[in-house]
Amino acid sequence: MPRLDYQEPRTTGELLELLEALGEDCTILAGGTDVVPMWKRRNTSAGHLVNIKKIPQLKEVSYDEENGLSIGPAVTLREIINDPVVSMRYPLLAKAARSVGFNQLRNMGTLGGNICLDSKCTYFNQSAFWWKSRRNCFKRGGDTCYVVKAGKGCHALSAADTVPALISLGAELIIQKRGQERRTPVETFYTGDGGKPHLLDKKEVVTAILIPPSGRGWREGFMKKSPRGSVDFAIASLSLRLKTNGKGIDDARIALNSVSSKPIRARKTERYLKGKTISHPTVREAVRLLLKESTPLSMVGASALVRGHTIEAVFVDLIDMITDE
Amino acid sequence: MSKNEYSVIGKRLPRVDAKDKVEGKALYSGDLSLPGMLCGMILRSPFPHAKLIRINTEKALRLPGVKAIVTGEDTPKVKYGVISRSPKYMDEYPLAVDKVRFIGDEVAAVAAIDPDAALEALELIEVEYEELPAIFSIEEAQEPGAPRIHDHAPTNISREFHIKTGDVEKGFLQSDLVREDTFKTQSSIHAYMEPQAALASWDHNGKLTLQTKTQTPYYVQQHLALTLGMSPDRIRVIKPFVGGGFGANSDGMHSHDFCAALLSKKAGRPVKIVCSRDEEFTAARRKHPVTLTMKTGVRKDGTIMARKCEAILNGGAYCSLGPLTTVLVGTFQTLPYGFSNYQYDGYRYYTNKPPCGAMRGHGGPQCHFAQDVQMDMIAEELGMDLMEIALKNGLQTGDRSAAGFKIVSSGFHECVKTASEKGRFREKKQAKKNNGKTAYGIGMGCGGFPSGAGFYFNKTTSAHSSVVIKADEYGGVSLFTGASDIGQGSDSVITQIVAEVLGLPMEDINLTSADTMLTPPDMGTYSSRVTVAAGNAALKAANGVKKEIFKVVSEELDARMGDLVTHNRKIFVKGSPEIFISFADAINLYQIKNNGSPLLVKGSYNSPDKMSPTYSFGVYVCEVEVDLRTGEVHVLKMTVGHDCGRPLNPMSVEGQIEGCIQMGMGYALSEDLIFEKGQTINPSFLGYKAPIANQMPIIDIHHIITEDPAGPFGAKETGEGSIDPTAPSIVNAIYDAIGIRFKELPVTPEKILRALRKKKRGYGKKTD
Amino acid sequence: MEKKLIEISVNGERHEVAVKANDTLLEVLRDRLGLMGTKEGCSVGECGACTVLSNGNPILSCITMAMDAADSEIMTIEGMSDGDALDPLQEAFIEHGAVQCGFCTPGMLLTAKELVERENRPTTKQIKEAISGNFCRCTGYVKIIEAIQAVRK
Repeated sequence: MPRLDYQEPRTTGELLELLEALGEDCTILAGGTDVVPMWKRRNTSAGHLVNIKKIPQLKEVSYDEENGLSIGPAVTLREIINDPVVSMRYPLLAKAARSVGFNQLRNMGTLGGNICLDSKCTYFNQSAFWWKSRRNCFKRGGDTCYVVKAGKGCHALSAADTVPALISLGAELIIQKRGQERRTPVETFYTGDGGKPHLLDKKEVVTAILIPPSGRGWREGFMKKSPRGSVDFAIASLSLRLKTNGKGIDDARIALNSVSSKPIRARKTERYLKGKTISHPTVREAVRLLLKESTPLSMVGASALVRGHTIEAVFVDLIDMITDE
Repeated sequence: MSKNEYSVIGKRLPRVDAKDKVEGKALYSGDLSLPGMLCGMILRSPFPHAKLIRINTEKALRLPGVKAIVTGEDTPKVKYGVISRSPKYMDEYPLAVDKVRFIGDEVAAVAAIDPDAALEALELIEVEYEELPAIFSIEEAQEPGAPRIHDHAPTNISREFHIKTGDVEKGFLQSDLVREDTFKTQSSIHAYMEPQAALASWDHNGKLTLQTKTQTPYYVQQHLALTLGMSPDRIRVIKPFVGGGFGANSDGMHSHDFCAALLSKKAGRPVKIVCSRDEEFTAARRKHPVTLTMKTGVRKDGTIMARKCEAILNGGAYCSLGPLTTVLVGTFQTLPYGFSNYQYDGYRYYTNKPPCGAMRGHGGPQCHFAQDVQMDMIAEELGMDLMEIALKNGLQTGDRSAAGFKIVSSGFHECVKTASEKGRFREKKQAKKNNGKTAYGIGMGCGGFPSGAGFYFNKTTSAHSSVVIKADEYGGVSLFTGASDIGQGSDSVITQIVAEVLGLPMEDINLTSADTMLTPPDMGTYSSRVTVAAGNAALKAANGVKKEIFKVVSEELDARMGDLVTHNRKIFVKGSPEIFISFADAINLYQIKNNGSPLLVKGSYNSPDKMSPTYSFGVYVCEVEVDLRTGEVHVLKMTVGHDCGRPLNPMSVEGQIEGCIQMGMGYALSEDLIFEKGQTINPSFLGYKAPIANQMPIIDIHHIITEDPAGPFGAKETGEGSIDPTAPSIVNAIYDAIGIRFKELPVTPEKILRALRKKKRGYGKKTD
Repeated sequence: MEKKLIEISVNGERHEVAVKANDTLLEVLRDRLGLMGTKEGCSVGECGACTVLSNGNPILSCITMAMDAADSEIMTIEGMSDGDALDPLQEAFIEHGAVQCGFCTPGMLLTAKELVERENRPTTKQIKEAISGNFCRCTGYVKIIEAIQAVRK
């Protein structure tokens, strides 16, 4: 393993001080399931590993009827899956958390870590030795992209599975830096630039994930499809929420990830579905719009063709599942 | 003795080493350490083809903690290769001397006090390369004027092999139907769980001990001697526990073995090299991708009249066992069907990709995939099914295959009938299920495989396998075998055989295996030879011990030798167990009558046939569900009819079949080493899609007992042949489900979706 | 690189170990404590061979920083049996032929241990989900699943 230093702040205040002082040179260590493998491949160079799991405030889960759910970034995916409040009131999130990686990764990985998952690319995520054989890509500070050949920037895949669920639930992030706090919807946290996928300053850290009360009348479903089951990064992960009355769809929330360089909030498809009833023609048109909004990429184990077909199949299955209830 | 009377043969016994393994006590090569041990690492070429101009190790040597560095200049510059009978196949230097020929080719090695220092040292070694034009595909290799990869191969052909028997043209003329199809298979890799590792140390007399992950310690010893310029008797190679081999470690020495040894000599301290998983996927041996153009002629009743096959193998940068693969793609396709007119032309090309060697089935998975997909197509055209074709043409006991394989026992027809019946093949073929979202299909695949190569790779006077048994005065038995247990359970099977013959419980037998100083020579674990070869050697030795014991006991009990039996640590006259002599007492009797000489008996085995002593057979009936929308294939069930003569340990045999099905499924559907200009794009467990637990089908195994006369207690191989029927059965099932023939592996969702689109014209949206 | 003294609890015993910031838990277990039962299959958290239990939960020790493990109770395969008797899962693996080369076995057993403690009679689906991060190339998983199913609390 390359050389590094390790810090273990005990309060949020200490953490923010550290980030202020070390900034560029820091990497947040939550579960480590993303950061440590990249390190071992000598793919990153940050000198300070800052462990946030010993800060009690960042491991809290709290809920009240008025404000909804607040989850600390260091809460593990396992803890989220097992949390009774999450299971009861936000089963969509539990389902999404359950789809991440595999058993051991869910015990280690955190919600904050998943939200801040680095973008993934077949080419970028290789070892230092591997990169000796070719020119650096944009994400490595070079001047080319091996996925989008004539591309002018990095198109690395946004691949976190909890994100579509969070977006469709209207989740927000509290982001702090020393002396400052801001809120941002999860939906707008992503840049679409694989080289710098998150709107997060090097001195900032996510300190809470807020999910508003889920409201009445929503039916929801989440599905992830990947080559071998959850072990692999997704071909597509989709979160669907429909507010229905007896006659049709009042409202819709549709979000996807692992199809492109940023998560997709399929607003056009949502707008189309409002006021419609579920029928074959409606679903067909919704699929057409969804695929247009998704702009699927060929990378990380799936081609655009397979992604497109998979998005369609998942969407149709989720509609069937939700409307059968 | 009928099988019902066996004590341990045929029983579902735990492996002799299972307890050590579940307790975490089994030590593999990477677990070993010696006092003062250094950490070794290898520097590899980032270029697929380049001249090695200069290596400067000065800076690296000055790094604190670095104790030794070696490059090709520090070596005797001797080439090696496992098929050492034929010097033209010895084309590899352990460390590059003049050129590097693939990304990952070994250039230098470092020994340092810890991995951090070793890694840093590698970065400080300055290598000057002059890049050369590189070739990666067969087409590029075949181009006139293509870059020459090895001086001795002007057309980049590393081996060609031809078979001509009967009259193929006449055979085609006599056929009612002739089909010619081209099939392509991919580069897949063993992906065993234990990365390769080697620990080398030298004693004060200049003798080398190497503990290494290998399937062939005997060959490692020879290759080390050759490349280090030493006599083999000054080298001891020991195989610790091995975490899966599947053929990757069957070609003797690898570079890291050599580097560990040379570094250790230079540093004066033990050196251990553990390969990383990246190195495994990037540089280790892998399966040959093969393009097969197969032409088969049949009569309208399904009888095969002629076969002509051209096979082109992309061999990568060095030979390894590739020259043999070139032969086997040709010979293995003469199993399990009989035909007299056969022509095979096989060509193996060098390219600037990692070297391909042997991988489970060794040519069989490639040609059996092609053969049974083609036979399924032929069956359909004739209005028959593959079951009928298989029964029509299947080899029977006493037959000879077109390549000259002598079929000593064949349960093939029983396999076909059993798999079909238990898998309800014909019945389920009728019941088509396509609900618009998924389609169900059922398909068959057949195979046969040798139980060990009957020939030698090297020049030697040693038998293929030898075993020594020492029985001591306390009634304990020590068993010495060169056979390598790599997880397939050979230690257990050999122990079972000896235990059965001597009437002892398994725990009375102490087995020492795969240590070139202590155990007699054994060619190693490959071509699925161990049960038959080492098993027979052990059987001979055990019978020899029994004979000596019976001589003294017959005198003592005043009984005929032929009336004596061994059972439960006793020797007695059949029918009168109350009058017995204990095993320990019998040994002591022997010693008394032989001036105190210990009872030591050896047994050796050579294949009676120059190709192989005998052949196993297997037939799989596979059920799949194809998701028409996503292209995913779920393998629902595999029904297996398997003839391994007699399963000496049915649990072990099933374990091998189940493992073969996992590997065969991956081969058929998802495993593929993807390259761009000679660089592996998916060198990781995440990128290389080997099937995981949730993808496994229900597996229903039926053992067909044929009691082979060549095998110990009637046994034949299982570990390799069981992979062959998997891919064709899956691909044929996919055809049954969606009416599309796939002739290229792996059959990925991408390929299925494209084919479905093409077939249905306008199905789905244009998404790309 | 500077070393720091940490206290780590493994199989019920407390150890004092000097670790560098870049040491992983796997390196500490194997190289410092001599517990070779935990294996390194890939070193990047993709194969499950390095699985140990941390506070009862299966984790990947090859991507866990040693310093991060200081406050946890770690169980390795060496701690699975109580010295005399094997754990029922270990017995089941032996009896059902779930062990071939054995390299995946320690990680697989510990993952299975947490599962059977959580679910008394896990279904095939639950078992497959629990072990999908433990790769095996020998057994095809069939007898591993059978062995886990055979264990009842």
